[in-house]
Amino acid sequence: MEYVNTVGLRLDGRRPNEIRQLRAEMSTLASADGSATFEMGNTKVLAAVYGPREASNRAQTDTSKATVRCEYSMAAFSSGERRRRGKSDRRATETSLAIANTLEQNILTELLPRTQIDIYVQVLQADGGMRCAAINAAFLALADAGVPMRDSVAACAAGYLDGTALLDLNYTEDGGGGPEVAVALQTGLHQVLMLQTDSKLSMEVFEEVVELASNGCRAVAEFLRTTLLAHVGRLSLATSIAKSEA
Amino acid sequence: MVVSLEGDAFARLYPREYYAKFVSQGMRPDGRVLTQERPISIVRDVVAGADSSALVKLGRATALAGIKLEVASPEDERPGEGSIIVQVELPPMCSASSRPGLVSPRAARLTEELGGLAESGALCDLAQLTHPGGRSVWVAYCDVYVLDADGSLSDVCLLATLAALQALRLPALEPEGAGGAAVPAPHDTPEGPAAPRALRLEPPLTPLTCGIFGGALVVDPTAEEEALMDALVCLRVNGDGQLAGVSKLGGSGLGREHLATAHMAAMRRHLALQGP
Repeated sequence: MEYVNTVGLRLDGRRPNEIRQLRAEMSTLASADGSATFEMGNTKVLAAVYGPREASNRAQTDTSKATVRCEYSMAAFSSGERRRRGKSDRRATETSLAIANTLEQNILTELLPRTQIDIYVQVLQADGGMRCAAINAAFLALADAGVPMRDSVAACAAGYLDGTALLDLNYTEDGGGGPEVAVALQTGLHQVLMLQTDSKLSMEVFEEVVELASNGCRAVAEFLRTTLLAHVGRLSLATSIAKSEA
Repeated sequence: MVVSLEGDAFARLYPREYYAKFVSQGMRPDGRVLTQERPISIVRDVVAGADSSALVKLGRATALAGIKLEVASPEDERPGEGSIIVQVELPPMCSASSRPGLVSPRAARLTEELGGLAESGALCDLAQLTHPGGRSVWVAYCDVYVLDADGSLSDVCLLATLAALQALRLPALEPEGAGGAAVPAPHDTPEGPAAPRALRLEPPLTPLTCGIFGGALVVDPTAEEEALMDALVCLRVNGDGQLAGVSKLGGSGLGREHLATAHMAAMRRHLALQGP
């Protein structure tokens, strides 16, 4: 299969360093303390945050900082073949841990001792890059819940197929057998929070792919920033209307 | 300011007394009268990956149903029928009180209730899900995710399932080959693309959940209200407005006049949803 054609375009018509279309919406669930949907092309995830709240398990309460927990799961109809139920999905558990650990680094947990923050992520449509989309959605949901954070976090993956580094792989490209590197950055502090790959790749290729993914993260961060500003704009308008009516 | 704070504190400390004050005036804390339901919104085909899907909101209560089709061989005891398998999930994001990891008994109950309806053919005649040759059938897996569990879940799940089934189109199958298994027809057959067909559904059921609070009937309770109710009763009316199912699992007694009022309210919802 040819992943990059002679003109240098990919299967879905993107250029190698092009990210898929991004869409986001905040406060999509009324009951949650914070929530957001985030779409990268056809990948669509919904994140909800409950907390900071009193820790449910007293034995695991940390008296010095907040505990961050995450549950990531995929809807049965999200992918091509229907997924069979199974709570003990090891891949989902691993992704949950990666999301929790990545975002925990960015939360000012020391300000919230004895509390717990629950992040729930549901994948509604799966077309590659779910882990990164989940981190972006969860970041927006945390911001929506008003959880204090150090910096903005953005995640994006990049891969290497047909001798070309490709940004933000979709499902077909993901199945192409090439390496894929997922990166999450604190974009203001320029710190790498997550860097993950399971494939063998040479140092030069690795650096090229990581650089491309980091550029992708910065593009995503810019988009997240616009989303947050628009959301805050709407909130401040709503508050000022409520005040003038009171 | 002081007054509103005291009101909030009263509501938190004595929820039942707080609610009773509203009910004695024929009102509810969210501004509805006792027999008023919440607004319903139904959006179809919201998830691209599924064969059909629907997002239903009943006030804040939200359910997302998605259907995936699979080709299978018919079951021995029901050779001329396909099947619709409904599975309701209450992911932990649906409410602040749910804990991850456990399959809640509520999800199991909703699955049992909806699954029974679908299996019995009350939603649509399962014979439509067969292939003309009869050697293979469609299995429609309908997964319902409750995204916001704000009361009357049985209603919102049934409405989502029905809406997803209405949006479902069965792809045309190619005639069975020598092997006996039907395969989905390729889109560029000589006669042009094969047309997908919609299911002929039974006249849709309309569900309504009501609560009993201190002898008063409360229509379409939210999660907060459900927690205060003495009893809950779920009923369904069919296309002719006849009762097509009642379930009241324990709780305080239910008078005949309550059942009549609830039936009327269900009829109103039925007319509002299906048109005159």
